[in-house]
Amino acid sequence: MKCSFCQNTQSLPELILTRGRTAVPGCVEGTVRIVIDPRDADQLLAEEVLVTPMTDPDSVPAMQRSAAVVTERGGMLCHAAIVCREMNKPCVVGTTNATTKLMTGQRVRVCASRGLVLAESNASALS
Amino acid sequence: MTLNIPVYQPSEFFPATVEQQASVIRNAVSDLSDEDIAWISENRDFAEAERYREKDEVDEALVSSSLVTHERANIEDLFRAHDAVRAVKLYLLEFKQHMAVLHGLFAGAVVATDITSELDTDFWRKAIAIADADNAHAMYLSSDNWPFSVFHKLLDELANLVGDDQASMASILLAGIQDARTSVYGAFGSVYRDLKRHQFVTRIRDNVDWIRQDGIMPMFAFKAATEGMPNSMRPPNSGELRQKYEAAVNLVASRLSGIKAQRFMDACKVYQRLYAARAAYDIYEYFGFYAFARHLLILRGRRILESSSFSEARSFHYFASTYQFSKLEELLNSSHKEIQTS
Repeated sequence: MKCSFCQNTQSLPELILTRGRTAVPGCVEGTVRIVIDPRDADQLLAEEVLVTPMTDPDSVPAMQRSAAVVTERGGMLCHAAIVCREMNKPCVVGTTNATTKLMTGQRVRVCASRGLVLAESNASALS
Repeated sequence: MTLNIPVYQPSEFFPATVEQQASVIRNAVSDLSDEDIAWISENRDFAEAERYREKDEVDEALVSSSLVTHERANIEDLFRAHDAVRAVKLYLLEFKQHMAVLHGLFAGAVVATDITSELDTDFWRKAIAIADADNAHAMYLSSDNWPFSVFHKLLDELANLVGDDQASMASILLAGIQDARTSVYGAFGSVYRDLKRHQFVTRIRDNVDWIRQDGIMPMFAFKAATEGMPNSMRPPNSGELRQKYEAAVNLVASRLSGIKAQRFMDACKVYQRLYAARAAYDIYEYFGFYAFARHLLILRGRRILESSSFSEARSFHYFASTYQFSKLEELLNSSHKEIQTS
């Protein structure tokens, strides 16, 4: 379930864009979509990474479409964590700053198994 | 050896059987027009959306309410005084008592026949007290966005026993129960695609029971039913989640021995019960009976107040819909004073 970066015990802090808690393990690459207002979650395209302060009940279809979910708030049993766990979707919660540290359109690697979001080009170079 | 693992269902934590809930709902809807039902359905959606949109304001109302604070302190004390397993067992007893009182009050008000032309302030004062206590359970049981949760101590115990096996931990945390929100999408996703609210309500009245056996009321599945995800994207159902849960518990248990194995099984059992209680809460409050009763009573209250003051009716509607009960109480108090002095 861990990628080569996750398996590497020598973590490289400069590659980390943001970090939170592992809600659902797994590692994927994708394009960031920042969603501040849950009503805008419909804009998320398939395989994008949903980055949001928190998800709401109506976000379920967007979460299903996403490659991974990253939230600023919440713990192991927040709404995002539970829904992603059911869908077996990588999920990092409680980053506190993901919507400001990441940008819509940015390519990233979500190493949810370690609760990390990395710039994709740097992370891929490690693989 | 495969362990026999008990899996509690949310229905075991409903404050009344689904049949009892259905009886009250059928009684109430017999007097409601399609427009009324559409209002209740839509207001529930408005309230939930607003609760997320104005989260900071709503959270501030929760934190500043003395009733919520009192109930939160009671719950926190319980978990300070006992180990995780014991604390959860005691909490679940309190939770069941709380839900029974809540249901009794709201079910009684829904079927009341002595509806007058004045707002029933006695009911609303009682409702504010119990609903504010209920907010504490929303914060500590249903949400995991606060520094404290009734799950935290237990999660620490499980994480300690499961170790580094993240996949097993994720499957154990599913508890073999489908979340209320994915359950709604699973059951209703795109069933009434593109229908308008009034068309949707007509279909609900014509085609299905008001409340399903799982406690979900179809009238609160509007968004899922009309805008939901395609069939190919449906989330896994309870049966699949239960298989994953049982397999993970068995796998981790097989690695442990002695007192650790016993502690793990105790923690799993009580976690699964607590998760079932949370699922019951989410269904009952956001997709089931309480959502129906609350928004029906808000509709009745708003109509009564509109006859004397549109702005007061609007404030009542907003505060009651968005769980801001201390502000609602202030409104009732100020209105009552005006009535006394006039």
